[in-house]
Amino acid sequence: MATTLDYIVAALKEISSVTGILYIIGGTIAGIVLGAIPGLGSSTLLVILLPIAYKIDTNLVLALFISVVIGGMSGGCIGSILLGIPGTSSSLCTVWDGYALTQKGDPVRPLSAAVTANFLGNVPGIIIAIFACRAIGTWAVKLGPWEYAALCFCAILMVVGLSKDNLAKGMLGVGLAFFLASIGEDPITAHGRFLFFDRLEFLDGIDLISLMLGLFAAKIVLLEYAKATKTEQPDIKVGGFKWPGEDLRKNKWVVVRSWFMGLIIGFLPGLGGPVAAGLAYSSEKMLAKDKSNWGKGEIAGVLATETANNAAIGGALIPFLALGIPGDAANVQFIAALNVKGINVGPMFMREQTLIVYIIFIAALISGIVAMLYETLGMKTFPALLKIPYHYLYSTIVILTLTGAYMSTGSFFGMIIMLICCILGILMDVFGIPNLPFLMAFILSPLLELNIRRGLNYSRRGLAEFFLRPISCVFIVVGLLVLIWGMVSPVVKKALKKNKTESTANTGC
Amino acid sequence: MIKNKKDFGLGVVSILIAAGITYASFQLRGSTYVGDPGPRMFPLFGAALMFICGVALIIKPEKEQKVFMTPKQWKSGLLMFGVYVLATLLFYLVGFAVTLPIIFFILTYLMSRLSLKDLTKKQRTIRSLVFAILAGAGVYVVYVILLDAVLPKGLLFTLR
Repeated sequence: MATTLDYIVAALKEISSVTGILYIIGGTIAGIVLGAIPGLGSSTLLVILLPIAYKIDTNLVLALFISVVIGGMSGGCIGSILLGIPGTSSSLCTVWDGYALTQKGDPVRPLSAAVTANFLGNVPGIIIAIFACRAIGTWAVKLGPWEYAALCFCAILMVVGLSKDNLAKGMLGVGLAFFLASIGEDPITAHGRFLFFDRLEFLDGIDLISLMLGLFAAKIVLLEYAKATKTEQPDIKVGGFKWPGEDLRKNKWVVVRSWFMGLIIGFLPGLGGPVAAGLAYSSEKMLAKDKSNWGKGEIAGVLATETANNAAIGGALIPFLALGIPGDAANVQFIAALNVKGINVGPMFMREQTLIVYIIFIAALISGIVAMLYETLGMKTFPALLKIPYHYLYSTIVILTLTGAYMSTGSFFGMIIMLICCILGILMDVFGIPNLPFLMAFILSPLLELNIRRGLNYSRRGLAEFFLRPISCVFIVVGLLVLIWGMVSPVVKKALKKNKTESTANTGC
Repeated sequence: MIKNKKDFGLGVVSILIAAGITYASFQLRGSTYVGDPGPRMFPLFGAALMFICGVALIIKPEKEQKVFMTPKQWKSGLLMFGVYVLATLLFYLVGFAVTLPIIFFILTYLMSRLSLKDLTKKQRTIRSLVFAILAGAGVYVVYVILLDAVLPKGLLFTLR
C-alpha cells in the first residue's frame, strides 16, 4: 500500500511541469488581485473559471483552483489595510487595526505582519490537513448510507445553526434548495421531476455552474454597478516588506492560539474564514491585558485575524477531501469543478482519488509559498492592485459569466438559468436569506436524498435505522443540538445581558 | 399592525410556494422499490421546511427593516440586468463573435461613468470602443482558438 510520502512524490511529479507551475503562480497572483479588490473576492474568479474546467486537465484545474483560494485569502488583507474596506469578509477584522495603522502613516507594518501571518496560518494548516485527511478517509469508507445521510444532514444544520444569520431565513433557503435540487431525474426511479413546460432540458436538473454564475458573478457586478460603490481610489504609497520579527516575538501565543482556532473553525462545515477570523480577533481582544489599543492600531489584531482566516483553509479541506462535505464556499466550487470532470465527491473520494487529493495539498503548499514571495517582494505594487480600472474588469467578468453559462450546458438553457439565478440571488439579498446554507443544501441534496432513500430501502427498521446506528445517531443529534443552540442562544444572551444590567444597576444603588 | 412588511411578505410567499410544491409533488409517480418513499419525499421535505419558516417569519419577523437599495439604485440595477438580457438575445440572434464587442462596449461605457468621471463623453466613448475591440478579440482568441469551446453561432449568421 502506497504511503503518504509516495503520494506526495507522485503529486509533485504531476504538477511540477512548466504548465503546472505557471497555473499555480498565475492562480495565486490572480487570487491576490481579486481578493484585494473589495466586493469581488477570489470566489468570483473561481465561478467564472468553472466553465473553462471542461477544457483543462483535471490535475491542473484543481491546482489552479486551490491557488486562487490561497491567493484570494492572502490578498484580502490588502484592501482592509490600505483602504479600510475588506477585500474579503474574512479580512473584516483586519480593517479595525490594520487601517488604523495606515492612517497613522505606517501601512508597511500591518501589511508585513498580515503577509507573514497569512503564511504562518496557511502552510501548517495544509500540512495538518494532509495527515488528518488520510486518517479520516480510512474511517469514512466504513460509512453506510445511514451514516452518510446523517452526516450531510448534520452539515446542513450546522451551517444554518452556527451562522449568525436569521435561522428561519437560513432554513427557508435550505427548503428552497431541496426543491430546486429535486428538479430533474429522480436518483432511484429515473422518472423526471418538475419538468416545467415539459422541457427535457430540466431532466439534467438545475446546472450548478449556471446557478453559481448567476448567484455570485452576475449578481455581484449588477449590485456593484447599482450601488455605485466603485469610485477612483486615493493615491497611497507603500514601502517594501519589513520582517515583523519584533511583532511576532511579542505576539507568538496570539499567532498559535489563532491558528488553532482557525483550523478548528475551518473544519466545521460552512463556517470558514470569516467566522474563524472574527472569533480569533474577539477572543484575543478578551485575553489581552491592555485592551485600550485594540481597534486603534493593535498589531496583535492583524496577526490574529490573518492567521485564523488562513488556517481555516486547511481546516475546511479536511471534511471536504475526507468526507465530501464542503467546509466553505470555495469547497463548493471545487465540487462543481470535480463534477465537470465526472468525479463525484463523497466518503470514497479519498480512497478512489487519492492522487487528486494530494495534488490539491501540494498545489496549496506551493501556492502558499508563491503568495508569500509575491507579497513580500511586490509589496510596493499593492496600491496599484486597488487601482485596477473597474469598468474594464467588471465588463470582462460579465462577458465571461455569460459565455460560461452557455458553455456549461452547451445551450441557451444555461444562460436562462443564470439570469433566473441572478434574480434569485438579488431577491435573497433583499430578504436577507443567507447564500451559504442555500448553496450547501443545493450541493448536498442529491447525496442526502440518495442516501436517505437507499438507507430506507436497505433497512428493515425503516426510519428508526438512522437513530439505531450509533454514528448516524450522533451526527443527527449533533446537528439538531447545533440548530437548537442557534435558536436558543440569542434568548440566553439577551437574558444574561438583562441580568448583568440589573445587577450593575443594583450595585450602583 | 405589521411590524416588518418585508418579512411578512416573504413568509406569505414562502407558504404559497410550499403549497405549490406540495401540489406538484403529489402529481409525481410513486416508486415501486420496497421501503423507498419515492420521488415525492424530498421536494415535500423542502416544502415542509418552507412552510414552517414562512409561518415563523409571519409570527416573529425581524425587528429591523433595512432599505436594500434606493429607487435610483434599483433603476441602475434594472439597466444592468437589461444588458444581461440583451447579451443573451444577441448571443441567440447574431452569435458569439458579433455580440462580444457590442456588449463589451455597452458595459465598459456604462461602468466608466463611475470610475472615469473626469473624462468627457467623447473620451469615454473612444476608450470604451478601443477596449471593446481589443478585449473582444482577446476573449474570442482564448475561447474559440485556444479552448476550442462550443459557442453560439447565432440564428442570423453562422459566424463563430
